[in-house]
Formats: sequence, structure tokens, C-alpha cells
Amino acid sequence: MKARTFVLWGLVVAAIAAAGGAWWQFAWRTEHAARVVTEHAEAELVAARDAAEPGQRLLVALRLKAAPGWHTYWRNPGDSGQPTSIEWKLPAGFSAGPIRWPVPQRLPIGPLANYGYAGEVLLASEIRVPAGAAGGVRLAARARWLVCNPERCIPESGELSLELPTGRGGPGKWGPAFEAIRLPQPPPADWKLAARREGDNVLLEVRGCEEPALYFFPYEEGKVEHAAPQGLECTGAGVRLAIPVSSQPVGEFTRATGILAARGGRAYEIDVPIEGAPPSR
Amino acid sequence: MKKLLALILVAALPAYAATVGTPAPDFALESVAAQTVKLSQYRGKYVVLEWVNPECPYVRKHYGSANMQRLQKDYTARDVVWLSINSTRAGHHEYKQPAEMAAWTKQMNAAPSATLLDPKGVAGRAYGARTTPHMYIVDPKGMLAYAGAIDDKRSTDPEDVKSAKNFVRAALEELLAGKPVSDASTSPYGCSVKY
Repeated sequence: MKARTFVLWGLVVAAIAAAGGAWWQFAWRTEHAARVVTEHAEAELVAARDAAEPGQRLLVALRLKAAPGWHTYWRNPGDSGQPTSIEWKLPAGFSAGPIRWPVPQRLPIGPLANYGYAGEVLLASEIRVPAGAAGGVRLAARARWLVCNPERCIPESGELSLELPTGRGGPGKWGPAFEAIRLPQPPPADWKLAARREGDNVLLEVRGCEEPALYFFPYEEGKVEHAAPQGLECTGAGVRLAIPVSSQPVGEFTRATGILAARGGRAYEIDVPIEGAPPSR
Repeated sequence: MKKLLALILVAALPAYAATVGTPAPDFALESVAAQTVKLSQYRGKYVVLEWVNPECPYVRKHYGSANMQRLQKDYTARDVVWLSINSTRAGHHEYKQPAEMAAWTKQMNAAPSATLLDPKGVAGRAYGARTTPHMYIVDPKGMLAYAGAIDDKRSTDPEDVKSAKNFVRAALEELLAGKPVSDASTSPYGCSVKY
């Protein structure tokens, strides 16, 4: 009786150990998924090329697609929300640059406005591949995002991974999607920008500009009234954009730093000092 | 015509909502106990205004961790008035009837001086309330002394509460000690107020 109980217990322990070992392996392999699909979003890591070339840089993006009617957020989310974040987990010798944020959309919601992306966005970072990389690479990241629609907001996250061979490779399946990412460009050489504070607005003068419509997306939070319209006037030499300053400003608004978006997909990165002290209230 | 009027009313926050260092706008709102509560009835005391929405994951972070309740208890015990305000519009998916809001407050063991409903968003717009939570402090002279976030860690993770700098606690301690507020205006974080 005693021997049989002992053997039975031994078998139980062995079974648990085996199952535990198998579970541990299973857990490690599924700890990072190629693609995470939640109720409101799809997330995966995609690369601009189909191989990681040793000693070179490779653009790798978080492809985040919000369900129809839902959106995720830009680096300045506007009146509410939270920017998507990517925490890279890379093999030794690899490093990742910051997110290259595509031009956002203005997403009004009642008297408020957010800055973000309805539908799909590719948030790309430059990955530096060490010269000694060989035998394939596995890039991993923990991505966190807030996905919202006018009805509600859901914080989500995903442990993602991407495996690539090492070698020269070619543009791969996602090459065209990376080409299509809308990043802000330097302003045209013949534009002259100046900004000054006047009352409750910052007036941005753009000499040499003939755009019929402009909108300024500030990188910094707490500077601009995100929901307010920005009036555009023609001046003799160009245009003047009236940017309303936040009624509850955080810190001093000393530089207009951000994206000046025009129609037709044109968008420019600007950084203009603002003259004139804020008015005393 | 009515719809157009409603659209115009909805489409704009006041050109300039309340500003730190200037008089805090008065309001008259119904509490969940069906009493009319005015900000001006508390002149002479410090008043905290807390914009709340039980359905928002950022509000849940602060209530799930008992952070908000702790602040409410600590400061109402020191004669600070605490008003929780829900500006979710009637008809929105997350709207709560007075009885529901009262039940939630009780379930959370919350301790505001009053829980107020602002379904037309009048108080919310006057203060430029953008997020839940969005926190304000009015001083005994009726001036707005603080506007912004509850703390400095923008996340929905309750673990972050412990290590975050709580701006409301810091401001109240400074005000109660007769000192100026070091961080009087910070960037609020949370879900958008559902006007």
C-alpha cells in the first residue's frame, strides 16, 4: 500500500514537473506574439525591409490599427487621452531611436479636440543593427495604447515580436507602407516664419506662403487651446495664423514647436521663438 | 432651428474658461441628494472640484487604489470642501442617474462633501474641464488656485499612484500652510469629459 502510494505520488509529481516544464516553454514562446488583436485594435511589428543588414539601420514600426470609429493618440494627445508608447526589448548590440510620429489628425469631440489617428498608423523607429549580427534576429517590444471612440476609452497593450533573417534583403512586403508614412518636412526655403504673442493668441506670420488653409499642431501640451479654430488671414507678404493660447497654460509658451499642416497632405515641422511677454491678467 | 442652436451651444467652450489666479466661476448644480449646491455658498473655505466619470479607466485607477477617497477623507477632515462633479451628458452611454451616482459613491467608500450632476455641462464648460479626472482648487476668497492633473503619472495603472507626485495634495498642503502653490497649473490627464 505504502509503496503504491509512493509510486502514485511520484508519478503525480513527475507529471506536474513535465507539465510545468512544458508550460514554461509554451509561456515563453507565446509571451510575445506576432500580432495582437483586441476588440478595438490590431497591433504588430513590421519592418521596412525583409532582412536586418548587419551594421545598417532598419526602420521597424508598430502598426496599430484602431477599429472603425475608434482612434489612438499622437505625442500630444490634445485635450485628453494618452500617446502610444513602445518599450523595445532588443538583443545585445541593438538600439532603437525615438518614434517618428506621422502627421496627426484633428479629432473634435463636442467642445474638445484630440490629436491622433483614426484607423491605421505606422509608428516607426530606426533600429541600429550591430555589425556582428548573424543567424537571424528577434526584435520584441511592449506597446501600450489608449484606444477611444466618442463613447468610451480602453487602455490596451501587447507584447509583440518580429523575427527577421540577417542579410541584405530587399524592400519586403511593408516597403510601400513605410514610403507612404506622412512625416512633416522642413518648410520651403523661401518661407520666413515669425511668431509673436498678442492678447490671447500667438500670431504666426509665414511670409512667402500661399496656403489657403493651415493648422498648427503643437508638440508641447498645455500651450494651445486644442479645440479652438485657428484663423488664417492673407497678409501682403504671405499669411498670418492666429493660434489661441490655452486658458490654463502649463509653463511659458516661448516657442511654436510642432507641425504646421496644410491641405493636400503637405505638413511642415517648425520651431519658431515667440516674441512678446504674456499679458498680465 | 433648435438643433442649430443646440449645435452652436455645444460647439464651443467659452472663449476663455476659468484661469488660475482669477475668480473661479460660480455654479448651481443639483447634488445626487436632490439639493441645489452653489460654489459661492462655500466662500471662506478651500474647495476642491473633482471632475469624475465612474466608467473612465483613469478614474478607476484613482478610486480602485483608494487614492481619491484618501484625499477626500484627509482634506474634508481639515475643513476643505470636496465637490465631485459629473458632466456626462444625459443620453450618453456613460450617463449615470442621480441614484446610480449616489450608489457608486457609496460603493467606492468615497467621501466628497457632495456629488453634483452637470448633465448640461454648464459648470464643466465654465471651468474648461477636459478630462476625468480634472482637478481644481478654489481658495477662501473665491480665486482659482490650482487647475490640472491629480498627479504626474499619466497612466491607467493603479501601481503608479504610489510613486507619483500628487499635485492636489501638494497644493493643498502649501495653501493650508499659507504658502504659494509651486505647481499651480499642470496638464490634466484622463478620458475626455463626455459633453
